[in-house]
Amino acid sequence: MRVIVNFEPEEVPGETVSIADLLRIKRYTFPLIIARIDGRLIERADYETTLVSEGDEVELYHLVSGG
Amino acid sequence: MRNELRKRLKSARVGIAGAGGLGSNCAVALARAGVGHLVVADFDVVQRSNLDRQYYFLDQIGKHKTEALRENIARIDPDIRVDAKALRLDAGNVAVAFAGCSVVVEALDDAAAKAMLIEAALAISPETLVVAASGIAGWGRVEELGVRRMGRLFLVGDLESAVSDELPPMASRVGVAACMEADLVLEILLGGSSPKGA
Repeated sequence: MRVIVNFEPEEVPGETVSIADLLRIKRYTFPLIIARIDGRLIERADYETTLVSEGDEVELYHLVSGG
Repeated sequence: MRNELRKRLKSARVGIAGAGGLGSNCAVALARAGVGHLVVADFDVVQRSNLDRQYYFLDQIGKHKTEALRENIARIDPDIRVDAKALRLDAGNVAVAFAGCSVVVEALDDAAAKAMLIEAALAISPETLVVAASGIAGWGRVEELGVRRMGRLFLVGDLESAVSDELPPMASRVGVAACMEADLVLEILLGGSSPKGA
């Protein structure tokens, strides 16, 4: 299945994956991530249950220290 | 028109979580722009090493940052109300600290604290808007300090430049990001950006 991750096309195995799967596939180990699907903000508690489908635009942003 | 804008800003209440490089400079920009009521929360005191980028002065070393910021804003405009909350923000006190604020600015240092604040502030009410920053350390590449608008959350920064020994926070880049956060607050309070070339 092809999804768009941070504006780049990404080939992922299977018909659907969760946000949590996608983070594992991308090896994003940062605990502090903001996730959106097609512009919709996903709460962290819902990463395991929120599914990404073919063609979805996913954005995964890191929060890094500095203020 | 100007009077109408001024009135809207004067009647606004904005929360600022953190009074370091981002928070102090953002607060001063909002004060100068005419926001009438600021609620600033930070547990820290002013140290000499903060003066390289934070809006404090030599004679304020040792004071709570929130109190020092209240003093500095009073010197700009004594009619601006500044609620100085000298406390460490956590998931349990964000809603109380920023009750009544239509917008909360995330201006904390630590990434985990940023994540906590964003989640807790978005949960204050379904209308609360949050302006946050991620990736503001170092210098240069200022054009990469983008703005991402994601529903009720607005994010400033390049999302990569974490503070480190090689990448210290610098007055110029932190200041740009702080003013970008302040400008997003104005955009929110005034119902959008000003028209180009008007």
